[in-house]
Amino acid sequence: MLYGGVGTGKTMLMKRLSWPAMLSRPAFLERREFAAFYVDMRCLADIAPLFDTSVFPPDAVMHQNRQLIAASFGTLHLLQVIAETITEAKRLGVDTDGFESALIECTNRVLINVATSVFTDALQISGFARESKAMLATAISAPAKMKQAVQDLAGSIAMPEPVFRTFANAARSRSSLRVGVLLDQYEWIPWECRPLFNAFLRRQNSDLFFALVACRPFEFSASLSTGKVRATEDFEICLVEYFNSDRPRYEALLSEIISRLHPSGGGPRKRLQGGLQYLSQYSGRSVRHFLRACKRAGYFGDAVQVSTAAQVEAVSTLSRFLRELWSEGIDKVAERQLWRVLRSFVPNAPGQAAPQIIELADENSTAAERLSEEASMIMRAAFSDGALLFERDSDVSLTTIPKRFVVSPLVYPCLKIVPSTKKVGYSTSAAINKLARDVHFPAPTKLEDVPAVLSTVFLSVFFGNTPESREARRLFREVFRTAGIGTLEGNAAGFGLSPQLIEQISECDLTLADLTALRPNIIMEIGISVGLGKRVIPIYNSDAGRATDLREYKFLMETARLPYNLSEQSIEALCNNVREQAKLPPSGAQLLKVSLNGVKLRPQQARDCVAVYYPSPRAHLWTRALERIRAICQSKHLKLIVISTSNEKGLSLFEHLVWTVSRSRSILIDTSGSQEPDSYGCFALGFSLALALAFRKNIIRTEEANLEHPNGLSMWDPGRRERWKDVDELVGIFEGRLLGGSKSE
Amino acid sequence: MKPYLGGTVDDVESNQAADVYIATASFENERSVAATRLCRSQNVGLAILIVFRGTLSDEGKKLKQLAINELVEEMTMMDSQRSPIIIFTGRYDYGRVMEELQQHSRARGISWKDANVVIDISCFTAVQLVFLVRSCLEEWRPKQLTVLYTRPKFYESSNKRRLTRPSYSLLPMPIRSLPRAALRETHHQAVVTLGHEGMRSLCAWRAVDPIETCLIFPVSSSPRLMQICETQNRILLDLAKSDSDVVNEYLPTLDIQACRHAIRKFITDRKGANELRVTLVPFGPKPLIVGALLGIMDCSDVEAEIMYATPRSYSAHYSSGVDGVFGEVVV
Repeated sequence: MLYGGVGTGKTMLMKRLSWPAMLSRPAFLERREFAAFYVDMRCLADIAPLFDTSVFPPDAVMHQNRQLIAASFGTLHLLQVIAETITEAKRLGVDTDGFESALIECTNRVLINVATSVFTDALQISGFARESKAMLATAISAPAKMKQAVQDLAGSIAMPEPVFRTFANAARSRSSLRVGVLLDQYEWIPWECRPLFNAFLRRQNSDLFFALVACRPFEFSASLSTGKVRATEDFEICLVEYFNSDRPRYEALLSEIISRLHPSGGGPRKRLQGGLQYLSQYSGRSVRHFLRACKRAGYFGDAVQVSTAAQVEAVSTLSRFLRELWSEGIDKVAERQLWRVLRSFVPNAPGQAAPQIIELADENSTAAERLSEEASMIMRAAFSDGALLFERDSDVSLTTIPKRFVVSPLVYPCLKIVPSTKKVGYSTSAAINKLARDVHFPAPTKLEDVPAVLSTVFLSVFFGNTPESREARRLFREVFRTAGIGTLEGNAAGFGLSPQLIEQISECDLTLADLTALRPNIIMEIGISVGLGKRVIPIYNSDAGRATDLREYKFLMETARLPYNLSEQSIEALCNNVREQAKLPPSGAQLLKVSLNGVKLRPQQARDCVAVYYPSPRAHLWTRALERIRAICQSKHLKLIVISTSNEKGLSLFEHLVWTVSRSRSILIDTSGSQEPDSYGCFALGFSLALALAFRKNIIRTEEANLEHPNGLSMWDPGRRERWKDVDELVGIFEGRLLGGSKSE
Repeated sequence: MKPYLGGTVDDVESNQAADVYIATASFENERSVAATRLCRSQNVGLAILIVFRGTLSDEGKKLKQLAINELVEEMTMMDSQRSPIIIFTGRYDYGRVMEELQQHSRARGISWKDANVVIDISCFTAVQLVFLVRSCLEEWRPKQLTVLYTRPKFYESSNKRRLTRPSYSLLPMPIRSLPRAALRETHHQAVVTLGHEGMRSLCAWRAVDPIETCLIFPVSSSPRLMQICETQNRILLDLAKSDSDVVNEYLPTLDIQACRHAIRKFITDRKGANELRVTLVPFGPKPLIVGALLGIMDCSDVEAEIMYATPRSYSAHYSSGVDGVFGEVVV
């Protein structure tokens, strides 16, 4: 592994070692000892959105698809690179027959299930790989497209490392050249894909091929799909940075590079006033920074000599530019965080020499390991970005921040401070931890549940007992059964069937709620479904006239209201639509886990929390009762939440009910209504019953004597229902029944 | 874009009602509903409200809820079944939005190919907007695509107060992938629409590391806004002064077509023999993002992607008031 910061020349070295370059200028090594294939991993950035949970939230299907797409994309890229390298070598007049036939044999074997014909030359292979990669990258737009891409292509292609092994094995019998793979720009591979490519470093591959990986400091993840690769055991780390002791060699290299880039310039020692020491010192071991500074100082212009003042100005500008870049907040490092840490290493003494070597001077020798996770992240980002450098070869590590390190000289000029490599400054892990407190971490995204196959649905449909309804029931049952989907309905007759209802709904994948007429039992079943985390798909009978207004039921608006009528054809179409809808993972808002404006709706239950819901038209009666109820709660040290409308924080009444019911241990729900039980109350009853499966809750339904509908919600357990005539009775129910647990509890 | 008064945006167009109307709800509540309010009398085949998830302050949540409530009211009047669809989704989860749009229109028997689509782009996230327009152009090809845009009266952003809290993770997202050689160097261009988030643009631009860059500077009637934009994007604008590979285009904020032509010209003028990849850094005004995207998509032989810097949370005070609603038929 070539391990080094930005612009240290890793890419240049790898390109120089790759096969076409080695063939065109073989003088670098005495004999052509190997054929190495250069693979630029930046192309893997095309599939980065796959692994970003904010772009494609994870679900079970997605998780599998993204791994398959990434693996096949990597394999296709590898095959493309090998094919193009062979074609290029052929163009240079080299005998590539052995490698080409090895590639053809390997490709025909690994792409047997996806290629339409047998490959006969490298050009065909590179063409196929190009097209397929473009197809995969374009498929990263919608889950359905990705699924299709997996079915057509990605699901049938092996992973990159076994494919390269197959190729190397075939090549061994055909050519005496040793095969190698050069993986450049490793840090561009999405973290989740790195195990796919780490496999190249495994020790057991060394008999077949060698692998060289170029990676920035602390960007390496050692994991494999199963297990890990280990430094020294599986691979060696080679730090490719120039230490102070390498300075003459570094300057010689810079001199050669710039002389080639500007051959008419007369050489840097002559052209740069004072030689190239100043710019090389301030390049921070980066050839790229050195060239940038030269360009800014006017080295490539017409001037005969670049003055010292111009060099100082160029370094200062470069330093200011890098300061801006190091101040950016990237990934989990917040804005200015990295710069603040760097700044803490440099004493504020303009015009004076400041230490460039920093030592973490905590009491024990493992100071660097006492860095918090956040601080460690900042320090790693600083090494990766070239703001911090290793002091010695022996400090190099893939995971541990060294106790002593060097601050890049480019940190100093923008502060008008001169760095000194002879001075040592001190800091502590505690000081860095303190500066790192504002680092943000995203919350892990939860997996949403999508049934792989839709097997059973709960029918929350009002069939009644008329002949037409019996026919409807039969149609639903038969059409769904023919489609391989079982149906359940709350048909256990009589009072108090809510336990059976809950059992049935929990057995189903989703609930079909008929909103043709919003009946109380349907609303309660919606409440139960939502409480159990089941998706509700609203349906309506298109022959029944105008559909119900759903403005208050915004959580049901996410799924299109599916029409049906009592014909076999129509119910078949409904069945297909339901299947389609079920493929999309339900959102948090649909399951009322989160409100539409982003408020979390399922807080933890509090033992001392009591809730009361009453329909808003009953406010005049409840106002009097509430005064006494509040006093009771106060005396018992209980927190009372009263709901009758949407809350002032912007939650709708449904959302408010969900939040309150989730929070409360005891809940009193008034369902008094003039024609039928109050619909919000019915929903709250259903939702609280579902939650009561997991949390102990005391739920009481009450109704005013002249507005009661015991048969309107027949499945409700009569033992949990109370009627009241006046405020005294109501308060009595609250105190005696809800809080005291008297009577039938 | 022309001032929009409801009905159609182009005098030449017939008074054909939209088949699909798409709007978004955001904490910029007045801006979210202004265009939809003007369309309330229309009868559309399918009205879709997209609600993006996001971390907001309490005040932001409240404002967003107001927008949702009003939009549901207005869209219920517009929708042919009096039942608009709400898509609740992540700010960057474009895959889900694309899939749901297709599914819901299929369920209503609407084919996008023959549809007249109207999108209120005012409060779309750049990623969702880019992928929606991309899908319209490359896959669904509706008969007509009209965009509506509500310009706010005030932007509250300044050097101290910004839309996003500055901590980003960078994400390149392919818009169009073409077969390309693995060994040949790809010529890389960036198109950066500048706005009030200089650090975010710089962050994304740096990750692109392009050979050539076209900066789109939005020209508006407010010197204050332009000054903020200039201050915020100081580093990139300085580069344009000293580096011939960085071009700065000053374009009116609402001029989609001028932006489209400028980008098309920028790309074609500099296209060499190498394969070309153009990256859009979309942190400017929405009409200019649409214009830049159209310009890129016009060049059929270039690869395209967006480089996005995703923030952790948004400020609820980004803009306020409504200065006007504008519309343009773009396809």
